[in-house]
Amino acid sequence: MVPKLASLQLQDSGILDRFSRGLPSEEAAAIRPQTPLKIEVTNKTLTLYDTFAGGGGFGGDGYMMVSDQTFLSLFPARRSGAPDHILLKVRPGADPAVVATRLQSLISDKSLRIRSYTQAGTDELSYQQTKRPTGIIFGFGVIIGVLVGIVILYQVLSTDVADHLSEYATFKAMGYSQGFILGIVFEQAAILGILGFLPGFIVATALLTGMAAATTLPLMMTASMAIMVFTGSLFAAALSGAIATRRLAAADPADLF
Amino acid sequence: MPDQAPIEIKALNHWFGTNEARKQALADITLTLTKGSLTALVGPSGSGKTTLLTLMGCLRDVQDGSIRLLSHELHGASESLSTQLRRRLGFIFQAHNLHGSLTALQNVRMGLQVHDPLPSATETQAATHALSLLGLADRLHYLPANLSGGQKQRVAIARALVGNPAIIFADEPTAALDKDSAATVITLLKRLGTTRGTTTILVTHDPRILDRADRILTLEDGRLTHDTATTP
Repeated sequence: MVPKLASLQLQDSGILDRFSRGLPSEEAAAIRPQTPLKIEVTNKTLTLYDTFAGGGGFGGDGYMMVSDQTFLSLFPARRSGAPDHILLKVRPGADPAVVATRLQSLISDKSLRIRSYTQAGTDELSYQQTKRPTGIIFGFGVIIGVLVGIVILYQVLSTDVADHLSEYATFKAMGYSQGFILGIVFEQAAILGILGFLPGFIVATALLTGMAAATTLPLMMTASMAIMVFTGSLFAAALSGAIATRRLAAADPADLF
Repeated sequence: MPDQAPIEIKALNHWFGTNEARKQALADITLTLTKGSLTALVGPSGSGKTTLLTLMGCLRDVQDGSIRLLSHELHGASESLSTQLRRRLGFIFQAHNLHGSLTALQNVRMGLQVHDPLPSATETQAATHALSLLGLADRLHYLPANLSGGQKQRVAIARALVGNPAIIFADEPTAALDKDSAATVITLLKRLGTTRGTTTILVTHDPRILDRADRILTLEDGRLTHDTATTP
């Protein structure tokens, strides 16, 4: 990135995110210092000398980097000395989180937030998930998905219990404890939860990969996400099983004769 | 010292329904069954045979009167005690009630696994022996769906007997069996009575059993009308 930044020293120049949405890859590949591309931005001609790897997000379709002088010429309403973000480079070995905390304690202006790159990413993710409409809609989608999953699993389990009531009643007649019989239902729920997770994991991974390619959003199935969904699946399965066990009350061994 | 009677019933009454729909199913039943005996319960449909069987087998709560089963009073017995007592009983249902996903051998092993755990090989050996006694040595690994009605019934009988129960309760155990299989089952039940002291109570209309029962109890309209000892 650093060698590419040198080209920004020229007035009205920039470098472009080659993963910007709608930018054909062959056109992006053609942008080179030797073959720069001239574009119009806010009625000004800008010369793009190179590209970098970025990617679209919820806030925009891609990025472009320009120098501060070029930026101010593009957006005259903005004032020099009032940046949105300032990047600080810490010494090798220094913990950015510790540095950020120390700096924050030294600065009295609390409207100025000092964060590590990781913390900034986490804050942005949290903002997108909990404050932005898209995040809230996706969040509801997850909740509805879990509820639908619980209902489907309950239906499967309760139907199975109903179909085998005489067998459960036989267990009771033979002297098997209620705990043993409940255990069978919970075991079934766990097996369904695990077997349901495996194809779900494969389909979700494929969908995320496809969506990442289509939207250039950083979508991927991470280990922590898989573990969280797996744990959630087991919890949902246990909840469905717990509800389905109510049907066992109908298994009366006296009805067997 | 004489053997303790496995079942003692005193002034037993039982009703179904409530208010105007309340109907008495059993009225003033008093009887004692001796250890190792084979008793047949007979009577017309609705006479209370099944109700009496389920009450003696801890499958239904005693409402009025007393049943002492294996020295335990069942009137007011906790669910825990009932569950413990059921482990010492064997049930043979008219509908075999085998577990469809388990093989004949696995079904019979379920009759053992309710007790303290045994080594797997011992369980398999005992279950195989029980099935062999009933002529099913070549059907050990068959699922119930692949067995005939008579074979399923014999698997259910093996499951009831394999745990060496103190008392066997059976509802028409030979209804689905051919002549030879029925004779095998009756002989087996009689032999368990003499060798192990297993008491058998069964509801039946099968003359092949009635001929060999030690005692025949006749119920009519919930009352014990005849009590006939058939063997000296």
